[in-house]
Amino acid sequence: MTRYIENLKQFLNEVAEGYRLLVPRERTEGWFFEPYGDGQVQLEGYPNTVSSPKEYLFPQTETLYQYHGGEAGLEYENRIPEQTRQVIFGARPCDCAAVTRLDKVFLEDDKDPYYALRRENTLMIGLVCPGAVGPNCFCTEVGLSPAGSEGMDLRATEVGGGLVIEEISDQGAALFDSSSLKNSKSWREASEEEAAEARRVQEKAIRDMAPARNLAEVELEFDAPVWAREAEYCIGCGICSFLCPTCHCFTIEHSGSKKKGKAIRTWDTCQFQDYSLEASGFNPRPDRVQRLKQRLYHKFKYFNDRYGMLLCIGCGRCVSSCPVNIDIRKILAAFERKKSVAS
Amino acid sequence: MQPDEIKKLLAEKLSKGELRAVIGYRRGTNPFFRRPLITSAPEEVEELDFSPLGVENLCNYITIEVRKRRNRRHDPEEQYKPTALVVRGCHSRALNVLLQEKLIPREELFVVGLPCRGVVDPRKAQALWHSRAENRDQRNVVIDEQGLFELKNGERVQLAKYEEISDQRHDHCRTPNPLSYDVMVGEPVADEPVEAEKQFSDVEQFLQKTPEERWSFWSEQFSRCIRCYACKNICPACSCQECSLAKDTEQPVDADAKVRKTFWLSKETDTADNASYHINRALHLAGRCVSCGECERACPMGIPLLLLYRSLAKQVFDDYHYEAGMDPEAKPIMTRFNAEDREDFMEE
Amino acid sequence: MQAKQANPVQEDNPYLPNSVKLLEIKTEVGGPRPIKRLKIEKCFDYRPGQCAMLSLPGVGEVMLAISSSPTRETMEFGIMKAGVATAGLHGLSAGEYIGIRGPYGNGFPLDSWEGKNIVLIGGGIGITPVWSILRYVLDNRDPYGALDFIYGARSSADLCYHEDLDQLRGSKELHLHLSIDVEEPGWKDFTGFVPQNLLEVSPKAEGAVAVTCGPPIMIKFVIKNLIQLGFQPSQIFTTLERRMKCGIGKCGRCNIGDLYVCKDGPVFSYETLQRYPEAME
Repeated sequence: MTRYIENLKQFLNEVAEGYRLLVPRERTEGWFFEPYGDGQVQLEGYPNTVSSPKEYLFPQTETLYQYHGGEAGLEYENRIPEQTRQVIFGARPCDCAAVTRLDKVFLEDDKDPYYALRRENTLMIGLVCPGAVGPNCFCTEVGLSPAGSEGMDLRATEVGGGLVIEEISDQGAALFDSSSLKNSKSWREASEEEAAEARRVQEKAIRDMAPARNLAEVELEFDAPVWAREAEYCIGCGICSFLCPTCHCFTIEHSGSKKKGKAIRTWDTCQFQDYSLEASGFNPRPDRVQRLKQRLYHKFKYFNDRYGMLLCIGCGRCVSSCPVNIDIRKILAAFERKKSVAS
Repeated sequence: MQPDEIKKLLAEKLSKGELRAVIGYRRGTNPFFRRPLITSAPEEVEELDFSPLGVENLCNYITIEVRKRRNRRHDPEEQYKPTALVVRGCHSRALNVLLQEKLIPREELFVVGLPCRGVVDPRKAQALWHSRAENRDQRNVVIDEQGLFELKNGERVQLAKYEEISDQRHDHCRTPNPLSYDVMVGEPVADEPVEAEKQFSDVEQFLQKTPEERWSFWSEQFSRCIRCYACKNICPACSCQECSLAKDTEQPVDADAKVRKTFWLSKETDTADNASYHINRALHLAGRCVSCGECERACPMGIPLLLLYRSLAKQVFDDYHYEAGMDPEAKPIMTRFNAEDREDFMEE
Repeated sequence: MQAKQANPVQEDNPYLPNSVKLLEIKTEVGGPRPIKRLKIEKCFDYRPGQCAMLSLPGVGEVMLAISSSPTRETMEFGIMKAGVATAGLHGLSAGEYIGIRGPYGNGFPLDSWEGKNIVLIGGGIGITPVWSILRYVLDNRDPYGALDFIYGARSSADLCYHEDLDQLRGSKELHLHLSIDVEEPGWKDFTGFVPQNLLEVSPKAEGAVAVTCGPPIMIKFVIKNLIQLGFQPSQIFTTLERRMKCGIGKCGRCNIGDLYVCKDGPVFSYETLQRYPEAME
């Protein structure tokens, strides 16, 4: 069923009764996903959030396990957290598509139980973009869409002061069977005109963002001069990776004694100087140029070679937040289309 | 010298092999600040931009270069040709800190001084653009000394006056004109620097809060830190080869030395570790930070880091009447003492 | 080969180690970069060339090649002291406990090597992955052709597993070709670098596979000389190493192109590596 929500606040209040609800909010420092809390919600002028919602599936810091040491050896104890059901409301189509990429990394082969538990308990209500919402959006250049439904459970489109809600997955549909929403007046079936208007909004957004090129077809060259030029400016911080919805690198840190201790994992980035520094002192990526190449190759080639999809989802956060304005779109513009692509 | 003459001079010096590189600002894809230009090609010098959108403290690239040389164990006797560097007022203080700490000899720098009437605050400008522009396409952004404009059908429509987008740091600026330079862009500005005793009014206001209120404020701020280390990496004063606060930076020394090394904090983003990181870094910068504000500009989470560092700068000023980077010949404050230094914090 | 599992592998959480007791630890090579040999009970089945993550409680984990053969009841590792985790492992005594998880990686394609001559070329600590092949082939001699082991180190004191090597000297099951880099009184075998010894030995390329492990510079010249001897890139194998944390291809760090050394390696044929400019650093 396609539904229409007139009173968003009431709808969200009802969702919050059964789920931990995360919504985008404007702060002085920018828009961020926050717990619904006091129930204020305002989507006027909502571009995209400064940091991505990936932290709710893959947090910056989490404890993996604890251990005690004794006469009979080491006892290792899982620390997989209790997970409450959560709804992420208002994630843009690019961020929802990002979840599909994280799923590939964390759920295939040797399922990551920490991510898997959060993922199973998360519902994504994606919000269609009316066009390019952020200053550096380029989702259509990586084969995605401002109205795409990849990674969503429900898709919301702003129509006539309310939202048209389309069911994308079974879990999304099941949300409306929950006790607080089942007989609620906050939603009703959408009229044909409302559903048609939603499609028009989506189609217009896609037209407005018609891509100038397809970045999946770009042929990267390992020795091109642009790498060294751009790497000269990089300060080697983690902003691009930490704000990126698909960057998934992490490190595992151990602390404690032989008797008692734990292992935690935290986000890490291939941009840090010591990321691949080996104990012998050898570093296969000793300079910023190799590290910059690694980042872009991973996003636009390696992940595609391995999983059949680009790792970059075109949100433009790395461009907006880089303190020295390294712009990956500019770097990619230095390369030509693959000759093997049929014209 | 006028900007065009300076560009001509730098291009000539590059062509003649008198300079290794030129470091300045140029247009990028972000209309709210200029990106750096590092070039050894004379034809690229034309791109240099001296507008108030050149915010970044370019001295950081000298720090990066020095670390690179140390990493490669370059021959300390090796001669390097000078690098031209564009510095604004506060940046010239940062340069002095690097010179005081003997990071690089003055002869290796060709300083292009840029007098400053206050730079644009990119965050403020972007927020005003977002709320006031009719069509948010950032290709229509125009910023100059008059303010923020939207380009509509070829016409400039004013959205904000310059005072609304300028960085408030100018109110506390001690050095609108660069302290030393080889050439200066244009004429020195007539703006009066703030008096030394009045420069920390922002910190004084904050210090009126109780310690509990201040701790509560900073705990909340630190809880948003994601430990991206942009604040540390964009700071020219953070020149340590191996940062004791960014755990996991192991330099190639023998295993026993690595085992003996103490790490002061963990990578966990809990309050204790985040607070440790920020407070320790602030302590390491006491008497060295020149309030260029890059840490705060770079922080993606908008943490007001400058307030933290200026709190320590104020402490150093109150105790020792010392301001970082005013005199390139001065010995750094934390490396010396004199008999009149206060002792009231020592107990019997 | 029935695997006797001392502790069942934790299958629901791939990050969680199992506890295992250290049976024996002895010094193989002394000096500033010592190498010790660690022995534990065999706690999971594995193939030669696979690795395990050893966990030193409170300190860290390190991915190590399993240098024993899966035909035996104990697992062995050769560990060079390089960082905090390996230093911690060096400081252990028999009877203490560590964590272990594995097996990881692809291992050597030994099934496809049946009927072939095997040439193992190692230098220094690079003996550890090839030792697993050597022991396995000696325990399963029939399917395989000639076995040559070309191994060298800086000096005779730097040769790993020297007791085992001494025992193998007279064996008819394999040909041992040892070398040390510099002249030493009493040394009767080849003096010179391993790649030079390889040319001296001059193994036939036809019907053979070559496996080489050791310092990057040695591998570079060994491969060059193997090609010169007529070996095709598809006949040449090596193991790569990178810094690792998760060991299961998720933390992102050990990649070479689209390959993860922990998961798609550490064993790679030279034919594969030629496609990756990042690989031979």
